[in-house]
Amino acid sequence: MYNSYGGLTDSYAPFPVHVVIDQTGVIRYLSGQNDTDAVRSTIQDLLDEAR
Amino acid sequence: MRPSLPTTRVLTVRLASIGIASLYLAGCSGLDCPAGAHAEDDGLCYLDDGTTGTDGGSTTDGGTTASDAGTTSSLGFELGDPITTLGTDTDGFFELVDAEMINDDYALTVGQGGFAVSSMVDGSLVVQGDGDRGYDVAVDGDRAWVATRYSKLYELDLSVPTAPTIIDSIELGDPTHQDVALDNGLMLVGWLDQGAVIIDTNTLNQIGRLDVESARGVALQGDRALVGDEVGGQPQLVLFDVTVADSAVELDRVNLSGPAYDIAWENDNVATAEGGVGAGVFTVVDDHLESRGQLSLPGTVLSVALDGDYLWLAAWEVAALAWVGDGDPVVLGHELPTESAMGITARNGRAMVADWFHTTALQANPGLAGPELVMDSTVYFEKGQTDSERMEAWNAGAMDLELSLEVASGDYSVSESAITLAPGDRKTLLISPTSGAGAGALTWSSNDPDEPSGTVQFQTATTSVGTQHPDFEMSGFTWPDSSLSNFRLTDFEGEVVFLAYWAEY
Repeated sequence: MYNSYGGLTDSYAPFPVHVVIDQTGVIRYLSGQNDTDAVRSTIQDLLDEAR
Repeated sequence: MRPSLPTTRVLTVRLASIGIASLYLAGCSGLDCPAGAHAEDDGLCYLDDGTTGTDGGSTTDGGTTASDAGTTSSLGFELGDPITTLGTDTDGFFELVDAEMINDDYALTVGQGGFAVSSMVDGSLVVQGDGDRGYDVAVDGDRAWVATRYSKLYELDLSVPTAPTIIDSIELGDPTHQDVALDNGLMLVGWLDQGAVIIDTNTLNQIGRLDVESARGVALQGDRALVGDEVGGQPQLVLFDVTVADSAVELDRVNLSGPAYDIAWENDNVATAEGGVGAGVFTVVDDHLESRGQLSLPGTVLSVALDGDYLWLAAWEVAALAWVGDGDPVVLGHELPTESAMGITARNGRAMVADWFHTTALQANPGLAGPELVMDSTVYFEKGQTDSERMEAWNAGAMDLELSLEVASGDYSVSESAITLAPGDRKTLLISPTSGAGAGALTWSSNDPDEPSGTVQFQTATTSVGTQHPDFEMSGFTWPDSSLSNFRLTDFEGEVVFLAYWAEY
């Protein structure tokens, strides 16, 4: 699974890899960087969309 | 029956080791207004009154460069590359995360496995030494203290800078020390959730504790201390009078946009490294903290270093130089690290970057500033996709950016072929497949002194943003409350899932 991600050119290192998957199983965020603000924002947006 | 769980699942997969890294980018232009004036949108020159420029100091990114090209021109900046890389060296082992100047000739860096001394001339490695995994370092005269990932801090004798030796250590609290500061016989150590303590470096006795909930960055200057606190989830910067260490007095407390991972303090200037929200710039006036603005740049600002009227920033993706002298603080330019800009220190116009597996020396070029283009280097599509994808161009620099774009290959079109961005402005571009997405590329050119051109690749990926995540089973994993085991991703249909691959090192 880990080796199947495309688009991880924002990091030289293997970890971390962060993925946010929406309620229908679609990837909405994928990054090789530790950007907690971006992750939190993506999750919040998805939760807000569902309301 | 499944218990009531939050609508966002966090699944973490712990694997085997290491990580970190980077990406990019940069840019120009002056307006013909006399010194002390700047040009506004109507094409006329207006006197600088110490306030922000035409964008009010706040753009879509929340307030980057506080003024436009007019102000940088009024301060005497000319178009050019404000940073030059003098050299870099590789030790191949230490994951260096912090740096401090020893003197004008050498800098000390710390990381996994110990410490290293590097030359400020070219970043070359002079000597390495084994020690516990360093997380932060502070230098005062010919002594340094290294805060480790464990309960130990150790002291280095730097009287011979090219031959540092460990001469003492103390066990202090639970791991991990977030930051350490030294000044005039005092050491200030901060932890998350444990606050900050003051140590007498002569006796190694704890002589005081600061009333904070959770200390990240710490700084000392004479009988004053600064601590990055967090109260009820709100990051704050707190100023203390530590004249009597066991009775420290809180003098001022201000809110921050993000956690203060690092604090730089030189005379009356203060800067805070606030992660993904950039860096804060403050002035200490009569024991009060006055905000001078927030700097935005790509990446995550982890470390800051003041050098007179200049501020150096290590932001993982980039190292950057900002002006914090007269006028509004403004980012002058970026420089790509060799790997990842984790820590930075500076003196007399030069900086050393704790660049993960490298030490990298940088030189400031006074009086120069430029635009900085921040834009993806790859745009991903699903195979055969016909919908457009968005790509953002952001000028994170100090002068107007002029950008030209042209599709070089593949069946695509781009919504704009030429744009001009003022400092701090962003523009969303649409990349549209004309007959179903496949391989392709776009070339760009800009008025960037050190990066005048580049390429954006268009690629298709089976697992990327916008695609359906393949189902998988988490065999061998049990939910913390033991309610779930051997679950599959599809078990969480209807919920938001956060998947984190990480490692402990």
